[in-house]
Amino acid sequence: MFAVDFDGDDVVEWYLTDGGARPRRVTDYTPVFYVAGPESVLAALERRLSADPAVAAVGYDRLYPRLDSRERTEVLRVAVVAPRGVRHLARRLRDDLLGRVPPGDVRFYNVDLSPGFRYCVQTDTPPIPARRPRTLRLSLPQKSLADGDLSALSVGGDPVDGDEQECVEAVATTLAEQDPDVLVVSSARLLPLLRDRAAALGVDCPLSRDPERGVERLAGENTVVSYGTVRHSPARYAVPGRAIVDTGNSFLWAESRLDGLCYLVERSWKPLQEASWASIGNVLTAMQIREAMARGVLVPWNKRRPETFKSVETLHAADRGGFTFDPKVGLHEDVVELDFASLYPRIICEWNISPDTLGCDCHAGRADIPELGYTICDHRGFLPDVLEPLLTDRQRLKREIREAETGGDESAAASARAKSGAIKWVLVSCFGYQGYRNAKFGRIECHEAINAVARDLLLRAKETAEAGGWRVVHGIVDSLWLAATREDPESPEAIAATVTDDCGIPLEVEATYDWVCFVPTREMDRGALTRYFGRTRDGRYVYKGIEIRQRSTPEFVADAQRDLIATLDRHRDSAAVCDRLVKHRARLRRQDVPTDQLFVTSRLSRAPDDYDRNTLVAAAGKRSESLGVPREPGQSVRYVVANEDGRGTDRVRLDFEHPGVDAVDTSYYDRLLIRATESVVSPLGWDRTRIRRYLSPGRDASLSAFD
Amino acid sequence: MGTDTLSACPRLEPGVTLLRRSGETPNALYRLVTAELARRQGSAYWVDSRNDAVTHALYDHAQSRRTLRGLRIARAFTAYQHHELVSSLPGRISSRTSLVVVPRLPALYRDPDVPDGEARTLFEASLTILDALAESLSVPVLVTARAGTDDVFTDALTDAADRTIESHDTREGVAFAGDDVQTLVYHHRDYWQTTIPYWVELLGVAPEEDLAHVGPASITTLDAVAMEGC
Amino acid sequence: MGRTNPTFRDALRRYRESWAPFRRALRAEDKADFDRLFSRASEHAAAAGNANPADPHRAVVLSMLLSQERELRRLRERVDSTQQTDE
Ligand SMILES: [Zn+2]
Repeated sequence: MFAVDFDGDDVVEWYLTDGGARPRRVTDYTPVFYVAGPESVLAALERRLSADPAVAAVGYDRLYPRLDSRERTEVLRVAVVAPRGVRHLARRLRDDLLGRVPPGDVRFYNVDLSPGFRYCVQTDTPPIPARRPRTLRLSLPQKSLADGDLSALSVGGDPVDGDEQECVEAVATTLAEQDPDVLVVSSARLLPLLRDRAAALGVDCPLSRDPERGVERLAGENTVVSYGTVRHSPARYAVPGRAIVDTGNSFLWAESRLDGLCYLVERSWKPLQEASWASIGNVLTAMQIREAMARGVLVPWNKRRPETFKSVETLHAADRGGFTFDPKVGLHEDVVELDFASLYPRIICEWNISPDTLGCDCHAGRADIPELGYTICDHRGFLPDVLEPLLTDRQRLKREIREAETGGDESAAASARAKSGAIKWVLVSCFGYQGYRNAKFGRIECHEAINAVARDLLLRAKETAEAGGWRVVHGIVDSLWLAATREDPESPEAIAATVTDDCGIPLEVEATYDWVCFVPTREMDRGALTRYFGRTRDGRYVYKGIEIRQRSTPEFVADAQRDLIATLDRHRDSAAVCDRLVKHRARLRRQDVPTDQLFVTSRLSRAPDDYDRNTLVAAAGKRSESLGVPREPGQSVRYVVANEDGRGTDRVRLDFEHPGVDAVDTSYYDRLLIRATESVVSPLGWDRTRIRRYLSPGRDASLSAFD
Repeated sequence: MGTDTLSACPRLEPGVTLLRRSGETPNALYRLVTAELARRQGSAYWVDSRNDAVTHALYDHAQSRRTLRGLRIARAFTAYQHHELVSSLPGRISSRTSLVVVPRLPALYRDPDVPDGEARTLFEASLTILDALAESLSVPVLVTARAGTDDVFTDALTDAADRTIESHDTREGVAFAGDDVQTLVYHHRDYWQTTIPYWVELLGVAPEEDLAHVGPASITTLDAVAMEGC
Repeated sequence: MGRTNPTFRDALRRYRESWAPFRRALRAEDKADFDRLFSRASEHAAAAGNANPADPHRAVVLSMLLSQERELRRLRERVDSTQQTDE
């Protein structure tokens, strides 16, 4: 199966065929949720629900209420008539029971599963297409979308040459010719616009594969707070028989494209449509729900399991993060970087850390976790079962990438890279997710245990490296940067192999640097943990945490910084870097930099009017609004700074205004240049005051750099 | 830090005591709890919200690490977890329990991820359990709420509480005021400052007269009192 | 969720601030020494964090002593090498 959609009380499954897609209508699907509670309450509920027209059937099942339950419990099974009606009915029941039974006495399970995913897991239907889905890209600039004007539409990556009528006709023709399975749109709002304009212009342009049904609006837009950041959740639309990917609002599409997305569909059983708008945490939860259901464990609606009571001493020892060495600020030559690959997920698998294994009764008294003395059960845990296949796949894919690259098969390599990238995101998130307050199967003690093991491992690796003739110049959580302390140190590969044998988790030689610079904090008082750059032995530059890597940095500044680092590579001298900077400043002052290289991209963290301080982002958001392109929290704005010290919306110009070079506030960009330069020379002890003093008029040594 | 005195801090009697605190730091909470733990034997339970249970701060305020030996802490991060922890207290607590601490009791119930009706019901149930514990087992229960955040939750809390203590941070440290709290003593790290009412009570100095000599020379006297505790 | 405790670096900063009246009364040249004492202590923040002592102030003092020990070693090495060249 490829896609699933809902038509009244029916479900329509879609199967991809060589020519296109074929539907199959299912009329007997009734989604199920569960209620646990005292016998008398369940009996009363059963009586009432069997007479409820929204309920198809009621009965009893025996399931495990928690991952670590030893006994099954009898729970009320409620089958709902409407395929998407579970949440609604569960809310009604919950509100109804409020005040009539003590809260916490009655618990709901398997409630908040997305409808397509629920269908797949409940009916055991994998949403895995028989062939690779075909995609069609439709994109429209933001300004045109806001104006409801389709004449600037691109179809399949090419702008349509013609007016609105011709644009809509081009879409209709392409749909008929290519019969795509996935519509990749720049914004989901493009779909109702296309539908409405096609109707107004009298063009027959069916977006749906079902002639009877068209674009369906699933949810209105709203603003949600997740993981503590404000995100704008746009309106969602479904098209029968096709999946929609809203590129502006699909993290997974942005990170791993179709192949990565399809991989996660296979693993999570979230249909492509639902996976495309899911967060990583959401996909991970789906994988966990699948595993829980396979084990006969109920999926709690609200997370209730709290932390266990701890002594002050244990809390004190446990409430800590990973271990970091402070970087030695400066330029270091011949540095080796060693990394524990996928450290946290491997610890979970190797140490069997899981909500259901930590602190078990059957092995009570055994101290399995360093420092904390927590016990871990010998029974295979839930979390390792979820993560192990991902680790195995990732290793296999890494091998495939290497083979495809050596074999010159670029498309196979790209596909494997996309899948491997998707896995990486899930693996990176799985640890933090254990500590996330609403994670259904999260448990804070697991989070603590993983951290404790990670700290121990990094220190063990450090000890081995020191014994082998190396010293630590920097170290963060899962990585060590080492420099030799003697003429003939043990080879980095040998160190890595020793640590791997000792720890059971592979330590790999990640990079060998000719030189690497660790950058101090802006206060210049110590090394910043994740700001460094350098050049590897094979001639590749590495940049971390500095301006080049920040999304908001204008291209011009990033390019200049890259150039300055190359200068540092040649001369190893701050003055030479500053001499080079003169050239970039001069270009800026001559207005020789095209504005599209000066755009600043910023994400709005709140609504433009809700900013307390008058920041440039707020000004850009307001300006966009006043020009008819409203921006929501979580969305980005692109602008050039026109007058930083000016007032209100006049301080910036937006990308769609196509500002010219004379609109640019040169001094603003000059300051960005100096800041970027500071990052490059501060490891050598120069701060911005020193840079400015060096560049001050009267010093004509720098004139040589004008060319 | 070293020289905390019990006399400086209001006692926590059996029943529900509401600490309404202004200011940013939970120092008043740490002071009250560590002072009470030093006075009493037995186990104590702390149901935490919003990360008030900072172990460094507890160690910092406790007279010795032994003071904290009987204390057990569990942190809640959602209203459901909070209610779950409070509901588990009756199974843990006996009349020998020295203290129950529930800082920022309403905080998690105000979170937007719990529907209003359910949050109210959960909160009321939690409060009822705490009240019943305090009543039936004669255990002191300390709850806190930020001063100035008045809503249905704090109203219910004020109604349920047997007494209220107010605290505020001053430049000299934490000050307490309340129904049966007369003393106003500031504790500030390693040295002491007092306000006039305290001197008046302790040394019998009349407010209008002789304030000039109430100064450094008296510090030793005060330290001596402080060492004895009460 | 989690991460209730401040880091050792926070503790160090607050400790330094609690001695602000002391620093204020120092002469300018002594102030520089005072500041160096604390900036040296922060060089061992990672180790102190790993020790995670209940009372961070002892770790502060130990870090300061350790830095002095290192300085002593460096000076001793310099004295040794000048003596060697003198001979
Ligand atoms: Zn076991």
